[in-house]
Amino acid sequence: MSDWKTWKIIRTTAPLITVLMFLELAAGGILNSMESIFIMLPAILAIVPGVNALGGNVGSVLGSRISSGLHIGTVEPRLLDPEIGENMEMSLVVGLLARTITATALYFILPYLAIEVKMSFVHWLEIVLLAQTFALAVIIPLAVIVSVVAFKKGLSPNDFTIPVVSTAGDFMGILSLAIAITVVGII
Amino acid sequence: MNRAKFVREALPVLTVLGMIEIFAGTALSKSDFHGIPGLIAIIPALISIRGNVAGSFASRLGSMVHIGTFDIKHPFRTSRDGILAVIIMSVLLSTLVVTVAFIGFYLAHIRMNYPAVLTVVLLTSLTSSTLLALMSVYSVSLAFKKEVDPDNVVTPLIATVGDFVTVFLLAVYIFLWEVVL
Repeated sequence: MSDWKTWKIIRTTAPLITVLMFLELAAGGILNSMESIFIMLPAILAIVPGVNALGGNVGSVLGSRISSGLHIGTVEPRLLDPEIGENMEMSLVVGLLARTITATALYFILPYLAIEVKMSFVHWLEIVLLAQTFALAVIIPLAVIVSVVAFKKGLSPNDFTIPVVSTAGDFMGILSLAIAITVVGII
Repeated sequence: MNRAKFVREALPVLTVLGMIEIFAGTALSKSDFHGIPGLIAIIPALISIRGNVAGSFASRLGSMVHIGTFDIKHPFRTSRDGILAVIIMSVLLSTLVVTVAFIGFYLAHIRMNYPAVLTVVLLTSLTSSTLLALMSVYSVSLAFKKEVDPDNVVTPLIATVGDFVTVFLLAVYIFLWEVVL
């Protein structure tokens, strides 16, 4: 860990996380403004962390893979690298598959946790999958761009990609859910 | 790129973590965070700080494994600097977020119990970051031994467990604060 000394890690990571913190406070603001929907449909609130986290997780896995690839030289630091394209495609596939499985399981589990879903299964899937697709459509390209740009600038992609992508996961998750509910409607 | 290996390793982890996250959400929506004024507004930022700090640490460990600088015989000694950085950064940034939120609330004339929020948040920060840093190192060395790519598994695992641990410890310290005072 010779080139990753404690203070070097803090100096490179802390400023960015501080900036992202303000974005996160803004996400909290959007969430707060959706309060009436959550009171009416608590099931929607219950999926917020899941939608946020899956976006962040898919982006983090992708960012980590690209970062490692750049470090060991199997990925070229340019946006049109075929290896990158394949990784992006598979991230979207895996993300939507995981979301379909968890959304389906949840629809049937939530009533046992004393949370009423109050909508049809198809309607539920529409909202969750639409929100997740919006979120991933932003997060996946972002993960690649941040990894490559950080690498080109000679910064460790690890210190930038993961924080940016997981914050984007939270912000886009909440925003996408608000958009999906507006598009599909809640009744 | 090995598509089958990617799906086989990443899909189960993402699915299971998605399920755990729902329980964190359920716990959050059922908890009484309204007991300490101002606390609920900073929970997303707090969870995010922990995820970001520990998540990038886990990813850094993953790169060390790929480059070959991760010493599997002494996993904790190799990553000592990183563990320290995670703890220091979590505590500093948590203090900052509470202070920023307090100033915002003050300007908006909304009441916040600053000493209570700060105490609860600092305790949560210290314990959860220590726990998560040690867990990252342990998971990476376990993945290394099992010949699983840590990038596919450990980073998302730490991010999700981080959310759950943060919410859970926060609830515990809120309870203790209300009992003690």
